[in-house]
Amino acid sequence: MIMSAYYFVFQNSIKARLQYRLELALNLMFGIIPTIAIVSMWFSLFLGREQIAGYNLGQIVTYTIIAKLLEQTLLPAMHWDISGEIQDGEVAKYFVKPISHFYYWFWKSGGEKLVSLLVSLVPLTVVVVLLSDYIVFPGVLNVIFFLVALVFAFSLYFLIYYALSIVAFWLVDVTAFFFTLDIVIELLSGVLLPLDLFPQGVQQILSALPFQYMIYFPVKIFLTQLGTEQILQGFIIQVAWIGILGVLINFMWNRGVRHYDAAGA
Amino acid sequence: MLVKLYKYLSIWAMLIRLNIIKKMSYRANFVLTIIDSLVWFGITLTFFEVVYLHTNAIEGWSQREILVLVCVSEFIKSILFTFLIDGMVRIPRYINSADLDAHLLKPINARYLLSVREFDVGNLANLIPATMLFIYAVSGPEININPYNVLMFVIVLVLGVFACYSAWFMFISLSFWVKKDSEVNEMFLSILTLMKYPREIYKGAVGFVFSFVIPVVLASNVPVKVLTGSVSSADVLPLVGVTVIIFCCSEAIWRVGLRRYESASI
Repeated sequence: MIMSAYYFVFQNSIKARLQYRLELALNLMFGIIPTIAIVSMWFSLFLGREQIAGYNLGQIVTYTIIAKLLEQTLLPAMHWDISGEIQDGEVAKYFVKPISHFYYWFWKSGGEKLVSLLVSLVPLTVVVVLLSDYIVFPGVLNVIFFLVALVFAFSLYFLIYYALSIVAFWLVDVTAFFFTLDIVIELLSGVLLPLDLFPQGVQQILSALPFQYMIYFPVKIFLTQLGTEQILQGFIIQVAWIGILGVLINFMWNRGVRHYDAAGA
Repeated sequence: MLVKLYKYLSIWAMLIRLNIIKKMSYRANFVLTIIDSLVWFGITLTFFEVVYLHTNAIEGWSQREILVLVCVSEFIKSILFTFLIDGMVRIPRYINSADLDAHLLKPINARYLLSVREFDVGNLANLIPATMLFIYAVSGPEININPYNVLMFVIVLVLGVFACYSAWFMFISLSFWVKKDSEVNEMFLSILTLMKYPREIYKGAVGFVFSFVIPVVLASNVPVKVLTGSVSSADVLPLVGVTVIIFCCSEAIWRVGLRRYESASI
């Protein structure tokens, strides 16, 4: 029964999101405007050069665009709602319902992101038409790996933002930091630049964090720059981070609920 | 003429004072804005730091010059946000809800009132990190500061801000036709992120659009060129021309839109 309840949430979320498909497509289009600058910069830097840090022009252009589109598709919006629910006491209603707050939002967000992913094919098509000479595509096997990595990447995005949003149990004004955190995660996950352009030492630090498995890793698969062994290893690390974050959230939630006084409810 | 100018300026001064009093109750936001601004600079500078690991120049621009450009872009953005944003984002809402009527009835130019009505003192906090970095950036050997180029710098910066404002208002005026509140604003704000790169990287149609149609890139680049001494009349004259033309266009679109406006809410 529980399973079917979440399936229902998932399905409803897809239907609701589809109502806004045009708006969504436009937002994704505007969202890639900042990427015009970075792509233009790469075109300039590749004048008279074949390779930069192991990338050719086509690869780095593809990287920049796919990374930005992925970020826009996967970046959740539910953390605003969840921290709001905690602030105004709404969250208390989940305590008495036979569904879990976490899984409710997971499936709701999952439905939304599935629609976003499909709609992102619209801006992607526009870009491919405009820059056809500079976009590189992977083979079928890598597309499958890529999609698997995306499911894990979505889970990581969800977990990290869920953990941030339930900080509202302790810190009422947590939303003030959301935009700032967005841009930090944007850099650390490799949306702005491929992480192998960073100095060796920084790369080592970054590889000990979960962020690069949200953007950098899937896009590297898309570019077919990783061997099968590296890909499988990446999957294991993704799953490990999902586990670690899951345990952390469980701990935070239990402590938070005990600490909570549902003010405003 | 002078009396009218005095009247308009004193109304603006009064609006600014009222808004400061209103916003003073949110003093903690000031600190948050500074933190936010520092993080933003950290990210942007890291980005260029990494790029410059792999190149000596971007279209002839040294890293120090890029730093100046990033600061100037931040100046333009902060000025636009401080003086205008809260008012600008309301205009599409007024148009769609027919609340515009109340503003049209006042004995003052409606566009002027709507543009400068809200003053967000909190956004000034962005200028603190930007100014500090700017002072550091221009103290480098590439840049020769003298009274003449400082004056020129201020003039072209103000022109650039005005050009950006006009382009923004042009987008806002589209709300008479586009019935989506936030979208016109979102699009303009995305375009503003293009400012912090050298104009030369934008080739062909892209370069033309962001220098002469929505002149954000021209607006940020010319002040920097004034300071680095590489400015020529071929930079300044287009900025002057574009500013005048965009302002006229934005006024024309606004008026056509007003004529179309039926004061019916949706």
